[in-house]
Amino acid sequence: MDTMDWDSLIQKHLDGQTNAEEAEALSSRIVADAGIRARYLQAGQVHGALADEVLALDLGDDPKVGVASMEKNKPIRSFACWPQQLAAAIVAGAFVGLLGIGVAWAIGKPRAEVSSLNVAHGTFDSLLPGPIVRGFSSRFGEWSGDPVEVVEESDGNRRLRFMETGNVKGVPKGGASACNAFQFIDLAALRHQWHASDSDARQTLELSATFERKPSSIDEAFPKLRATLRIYLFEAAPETIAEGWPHVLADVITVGKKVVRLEPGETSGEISAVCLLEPESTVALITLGAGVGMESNTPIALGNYYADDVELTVTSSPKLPVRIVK
Amino acid sequence: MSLTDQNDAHERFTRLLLESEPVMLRSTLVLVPNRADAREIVQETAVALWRQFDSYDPERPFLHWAMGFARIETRRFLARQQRRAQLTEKAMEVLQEEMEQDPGFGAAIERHLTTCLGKLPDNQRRLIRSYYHDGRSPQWLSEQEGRTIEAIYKAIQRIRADLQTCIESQMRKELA
Repeated sequence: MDTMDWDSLIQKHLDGQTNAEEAEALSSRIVADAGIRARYLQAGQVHGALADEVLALDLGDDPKVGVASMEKNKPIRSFACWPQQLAAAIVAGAFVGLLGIGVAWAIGKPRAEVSSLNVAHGTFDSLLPGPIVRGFSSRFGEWSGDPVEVVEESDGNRRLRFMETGNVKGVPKGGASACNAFQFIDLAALRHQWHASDSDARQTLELSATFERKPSSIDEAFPKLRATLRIYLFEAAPETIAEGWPHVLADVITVGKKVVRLEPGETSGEISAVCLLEPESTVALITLGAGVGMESNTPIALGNYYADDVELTVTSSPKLPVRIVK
Repeated sequence: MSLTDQNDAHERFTRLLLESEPVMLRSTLVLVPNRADAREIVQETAVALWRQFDSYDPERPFLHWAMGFARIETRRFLARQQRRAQLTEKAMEVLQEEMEQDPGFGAAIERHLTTCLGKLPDNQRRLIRSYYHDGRSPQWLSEQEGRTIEAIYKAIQRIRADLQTCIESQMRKELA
């Protein structure tokens, strides 16, 4: 085999496409040939980095857009920590899941418990068709945000439509790259629902929803539009958060985020954002968003972009099984 | 150990593990490329690390200590799992040694992969995102894109090779 063949075999192996004979041949060559060894290491490290969930943010979203638009209004506290916080939260989220599974193996039976939390009007069926509250409502259980409306489909199902991008606080030149709907969840009041007193348990909060983009007149201008789910956890009153938005993001305890991009006619299926449910958090702010992925100071119509079936669940997993085993 | 000490140890361990877990996972993926398998190994490693955390010397780098456990768990995993064709133990050993001795390319990935991803055409970025980020199978992707599974694999492999070339090129520019 020449070098190119070995490169191809290396790539095949990284996707689990080699058979036993090929893996054996590749192994022998890796041991014998420093050049092939180096090629394998490089290819394998690229594969490993692509599978890294933190790095994957660069594939699914362009954080520069959001950060840049918010940094314009940066107050005293530095906002530069935002990507790191986000990354840490995602790694932490992944790690909690990791321990949860590890626990199950260590003690021989699954122990994770899942509790559903009530998201008010999460299916939008209990809301009358029409625009929702504009701006930033600080009331628990109320949807508010940029221009969004509840629409009723021909089958009677109601869901949320993102009308146009906006700037929830109406800050002049504050950016209008996305359209977001917000709702505050009172974690302090709901804490009894997920065995919060169990110090040997660690909780994760998972926000899920579905998105759909139907064809519309903007499809040519915006072949792909983002759909974003976010959970922010705070130890603060909703009024403080609403008043301080978006500067108050500097005080967020943790955040979970999921971004998908939809083309006309695409549905996302159920997507989820996950974060650690830190014990000191008292309020969760959940957001559903649709965005154009570019900076704009003027609103952009979003065509037929919808969200539905918003759910929130808490999963309690034993912190570290080994402690129990001990 | 008092409850307070135990909580402190737990918090310290969690923090150290959170910092090290991405590196452990990436390194494991080099040797065991299947993502589910690699995650399983890292999970087992995390449990093993906690079991032995009492013996961890904080003067030593945690990652170095943890990677020793990851090596053991990789061997254990491969001994009991024969689902996929894997590299031989000897090959893994030399790769591990080389990775530890020369972290140059791994560090370059940290610096340049985002740039190189940004240079990919949209359709290639979308494919990579679907495969790695969204966890779509080649079969699902082939149905969505109206291509054969083999063509999907080829495309992913070609993109990875292009990224590898791009990172090498960026490294050369740094040295120039």
